[in-house]
This record gives sequence, structure tokens and C-alpha cells, in this order.
Amino acid sequence: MNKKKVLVICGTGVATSTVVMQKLKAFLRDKGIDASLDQSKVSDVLNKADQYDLIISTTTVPPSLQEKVINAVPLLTGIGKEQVFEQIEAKLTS
Amino acid sequence: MSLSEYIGKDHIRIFEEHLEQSELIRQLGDTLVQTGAVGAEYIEAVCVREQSYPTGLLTGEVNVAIPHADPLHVRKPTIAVGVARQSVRFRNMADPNHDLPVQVVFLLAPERGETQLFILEQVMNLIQDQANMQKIMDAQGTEEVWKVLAQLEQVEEKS
Repeated sequence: MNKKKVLVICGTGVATSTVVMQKLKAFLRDKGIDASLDQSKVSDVLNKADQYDLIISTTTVPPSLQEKVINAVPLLTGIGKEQVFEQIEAKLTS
Repeated sequence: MSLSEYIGKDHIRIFEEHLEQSELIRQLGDTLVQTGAVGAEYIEAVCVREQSYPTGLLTGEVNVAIPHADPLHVRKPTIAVGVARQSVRFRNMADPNHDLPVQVVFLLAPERGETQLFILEQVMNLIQDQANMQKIMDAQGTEEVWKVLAQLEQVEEKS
């Protein structure tokens, strides 16, 4: 299995993506999933999206990208976070 | 550094009256400008950014918003906490086509890098802790809000 590339994004690339990144790292460590992780802001994503297998975002993204995007707001609020982690695991282990 | 120390008593405000979102952000932001934590440009940037990337979070009984902008005009990273007794409308981060009533606003003045990670994680833990969010919401004054924040750490240290 190839190592998957994941991009974590938010509006500024500073606050919420930092929190999500940390939670994602802990989750992948627990699951023993090896993936490469980058962090960015949403305005940079359009020209980078092709390089990634999965984009995890706390903000809305252009419709053209929605296929690869998982909304990570539940990782901030805690409400529905299990489903988000399941989706992430499914994407990274398929 | 603990969350209560990071925030500081000067950066807490209770709004008894109903305010529009941008007005509340400006008044709460004033506490940051007054202490020199941010330049006034930062608060304008936050208001503008909120239009494109809303930060309302549906967390339960007490909803929150975490408005912030690029750290360019942040001089001393901190957070201002505003309690909106009449609630204030923010658009939902998860679903920007809808807005939600927010009771507690965490106006972030962030920095880049790992240093603030610990603080942000504490904020996220707090917003998921509805019992303490309710205490902040019901606080009689800013001192009481600060005490709720300070007492969080004592609980964490014991556990």
C-alpha cells in the first residue's frame, strides 16, 4: 500500500487546522496508519489539490474538490467525531 | 502557560445587550487593542474574514464562535472571551449557509507554530465541556468567568 498524502486546511492555516492536525496525528498513531501530512489554508488548496489523496478541511471548499474532502468541524466540537475518524480511516486504508 | 493566564482578566467581557456580530467583535476586540495585544487592523481583518470563513460552532446548549484572522497584526498572542447574554448570530463553520445563536465568543489572537497548540486544545476541550460553558454563560461578572477558566486547570492537574 502506498503511503497516502493528506492535506489539512482551514481559512487561515493557523488555528483550526492546527488543532485538527494534532488530533489526526494522534488518531493515525493509534491506528498505526502511516500517512504524510501537510497543513495549509484554503486559498492555497486549488493549485495543490492534485498532489493529495485526501483533504481534511474545517471550511467549505470549491465543489470541484468535494470528492476528496472530509469536513473536520466535528473534530473541533466533538459532536460526530467518530464518524469523521471512520471516514478518514476508510480513505487511508482503501 | 495555563489558559486563564493566557487569556488574562483584561480580555473578558460580558455583553448584556443584544449586539450585531461585527459590533460585538469590535467591542470585544477593543480589549485586545487596549492592552496592545493586537493592532486595530487585526480586528477589522477578523470581521472581514468572518464573512468568508465563518467560525460559529454548534456545540450543544451553549454554542461558541472562534473568530480570528492571520496573525500578521498580532503582537502578543492571546484570546479574548465574550459572553453574549442575548446571544449573537454567527454563520456555522460546518455549514456556512446557516447561522446559529452563539453565547460565548473566543476571539483568538493566534501565533504560528507549536506554542499555541496547547492553548487551542484547551479551548477545544472547554467548548466540549458544556457544564463549564454553562457556568461561563451564567457568570455574574468577568471575575467569575475568569475563575471558571482558572478552576479548569486545577481539575486537570488533579486528574
